[in-house]
Amino acid sequence: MSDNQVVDIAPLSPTVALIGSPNSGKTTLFNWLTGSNFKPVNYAGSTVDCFRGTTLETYGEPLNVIDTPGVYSLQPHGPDEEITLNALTATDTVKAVIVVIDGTQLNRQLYLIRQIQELGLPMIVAMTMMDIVKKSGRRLDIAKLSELLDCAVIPVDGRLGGGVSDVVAQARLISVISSNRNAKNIKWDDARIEKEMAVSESWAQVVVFKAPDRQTLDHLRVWDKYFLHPVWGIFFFILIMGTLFSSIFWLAAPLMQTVDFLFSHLATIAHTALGENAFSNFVSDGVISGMGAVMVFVPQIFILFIGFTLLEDTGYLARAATVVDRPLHLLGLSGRAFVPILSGFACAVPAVMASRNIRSPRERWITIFVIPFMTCSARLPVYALLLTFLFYGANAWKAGLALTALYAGGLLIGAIAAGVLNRILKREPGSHFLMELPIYRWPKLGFTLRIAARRTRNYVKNAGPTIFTFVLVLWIGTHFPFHKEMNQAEQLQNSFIGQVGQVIEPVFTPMGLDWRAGLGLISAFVAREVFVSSLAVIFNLADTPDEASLQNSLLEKMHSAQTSSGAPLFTTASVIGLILFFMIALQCLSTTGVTLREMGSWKYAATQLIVMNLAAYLLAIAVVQGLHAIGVA
Amino acid sequence: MKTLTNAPFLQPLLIADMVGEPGLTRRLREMGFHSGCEIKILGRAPFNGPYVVQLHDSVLALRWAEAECLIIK
Repeated sequence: MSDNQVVDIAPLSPTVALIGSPNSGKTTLFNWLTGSNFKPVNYAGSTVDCFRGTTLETYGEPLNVIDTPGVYSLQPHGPDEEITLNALTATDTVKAVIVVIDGTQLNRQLYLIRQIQELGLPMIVAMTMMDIVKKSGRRLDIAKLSELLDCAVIPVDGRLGGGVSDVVAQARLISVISSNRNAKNIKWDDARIEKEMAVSESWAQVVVFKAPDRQTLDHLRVWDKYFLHPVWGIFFFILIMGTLFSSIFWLAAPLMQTVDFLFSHLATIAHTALGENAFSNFVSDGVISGMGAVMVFVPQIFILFIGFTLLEDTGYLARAATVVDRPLHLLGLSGRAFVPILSGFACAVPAVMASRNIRSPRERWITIFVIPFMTCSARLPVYALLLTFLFYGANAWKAGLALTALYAGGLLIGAIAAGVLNRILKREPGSHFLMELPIYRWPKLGFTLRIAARRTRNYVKNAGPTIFTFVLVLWIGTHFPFHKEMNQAEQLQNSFIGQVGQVIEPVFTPMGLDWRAGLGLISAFVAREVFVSSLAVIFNLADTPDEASLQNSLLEKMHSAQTSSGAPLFTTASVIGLILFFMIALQCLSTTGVTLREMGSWKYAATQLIVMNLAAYLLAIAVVQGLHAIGVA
Repeated sequence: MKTLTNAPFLQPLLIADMVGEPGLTRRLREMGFHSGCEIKILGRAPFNGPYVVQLHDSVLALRWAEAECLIIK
C-alpha cells in the first residue's frame, strides 16, 4: 500500500535519518520535511523500506532525509528492524539522527534515545503529538528534557507543520559533527535493558506534568470498549469491513458511468475527426476503447484506497488486527498478517512487502503465499465485466451480491490454502503477537483524499503504459497481414495472432474457451486488468453504434461471439470457469518478482506460481466440464 | 506461580518477573514491561483472542504465550 518512490538525493548534502517507534508520527514529519506526501501510518510496521527524500527549498540548504521502519529498540527482532539498524551502521552515509518521540509516550520511547546515545551518533529530538498532550491537560518541560538528553528537543505540530524548520536547522548543525559509531555497543542484556528503561521512566517523571484530575489517556481509547468487545467487536469488524467493500460498488457507480460516457464519446469524436481509415480505427477502437475499458474502474480503486487510508489514520487497523488474531492463529498466521492480507485487496505487490513486519519466517511464507488469493483491484475490472455478462438485464443488486461472494470466496480460498500449508510446513516456535494499540484520532480528510488520489494516480501510471503496449501489439497482430477481401472474422482468423492462437487453442478447449478468449487469458499474465482491454481489441469494438457505452458494446460482442463450430463462446459455464480461474491463478508477474525478492529464493516464488496456476487451470476445467455434464451450457 | 493468564481483570497488577524465551522477554522489556511496573488487564479481544493490557499511557495487545511470560506479584 505504500508509494514506492525514491527521490533523488542531493549528492553533496549530508544525510540524516528519522528514527522512531511505530506510530510516533515519524512518517508525518517526513512528509513535512520532504513534501513528498508519503502516507503517515497509524499501525505498527508499515514503513517497510527506507524512503529517501531531500528537504524542501523553503527550509534552505537541502538536507537528505531517510525515513526508516519504526523500531522499539536498535537490537533487531525482525527483517524490518534490521533495515533500520543497517541504515545507521552499515555505512557512514547517515551523519546524524532525528529521533521522533510521541509526547504522550515519553516513559517508553525515551529508551530508544538511550540506545542512540550509546551508538554514538549525533542526534536531535522531534517531539510529536503535542496537540494531544495539551488537550489531555499535560505539560512537558522541554528545556529540562533537552538538558537531560544533552541535545536539542523541538516540539513539532504534525497538523500545521510548526517547528519543522527548526528541526531542519538543528539537524543541519549536528550533521557536520564527526562521530564514532559502534554498533557493538548496543548488545544489551536483560539487566541492562531494565536499567535503561528505568532511566527513561525517571526522565519522563521529571519532565511530564499531568493535571491532577486527568492522570490517564483513557478518554482517547473509549471506543475500545466497543471495538474490542467480545461480541460488539466482531459486529463492528464485520460492519466496518462490510461498509468499506460495499461502498466500493454503490458509491462508485455514478462515477463509473461518467468515465464510461467520457471515453465512449472520446472514441466517437476521434473516429469522426480522423475519418474512415485504419489509423482512425486504431485510435478510437484500439487505444481509446482499450484504455477506457480499464479506466472505468478507477473510481472503485479510488474509493478502496480512501477506505484503507481512513482505517490506518484513525487507529482502527491495529484493533482489527487484534480482533482477527485468534482466527488467523488457527490457520498458522497471526494478527500481524491482517494488514498485509487486507492490503492484498488493493494490490499484492505492496502487500507482500508489508509482510516484513511478521517476524516468524514460517508465518511470513504462509502470508505471502495466500496474499494473491485476495481480490486485488486488478481483478475488479475482470469480475465486473464477467458478472455483468452473467447477470445481463437482471437487477443490479444480484451482480453486487455475486461480487461480494467473489470477495468472500477469495478469502475462503486463502484460508484453505493457509490451513493446508499450516499442516504441511514444519512447526517452529516463535509465533508471537505483541502489538501496540495507538490512540484513536480523527482522520485529516484533505490529507486522506490527497493520499488516496496519489495512490490511484500511481495505479493508473503503472497500468497505463502496459495496457497501451498490449493494445498496440494486439491491434497490429490482429490486423496484419491485411487481407482486403476478407470480412472481419476471416481477417482475425488469418492474422498473425490468429494463427498463433489456433495452435494453442487445445489448451483452452477444456475450459470451454476458444483461442481468442485464451489469448485474453495469456495477456492477463502481464496484469489481470489487461484481459478486459484485450477482449475489447480482439472482439473489435470499433464497428458498434456510436451512442452505446463501451461496456455495453463489449457485452454485446461477447453475447454474439461464437466458437469455430458455431456454438456460443461465452456461456454461463465458460464464464464461471473464467471467474474461477481468475480467483485462483497467480496472473501477475510483478507479484512473482516481489515474492522472489522478499523470500530470497526461486524455490518459493516458483512454488507459488506453479501451484496456484495449475490449481486454477485444473479447477476451472473441472467446474466447466461438471457444469456441462449437468446440462448447464 | 501467578502469571497474567490467571490474574484478575481491571485491577492494578505488579509485575514480579519475566520468564520464557529470551527473544520474547527482551521484546517485552523493550516495549516497557519490567519487574515492579504496574499494569492492568483491560480485557480480551473477541474469539478469546489476545489480552489487552494497559501499561502507563499505552495499551498493548498480547497473546496467551506472551501473557504467560509475565509473572505477577
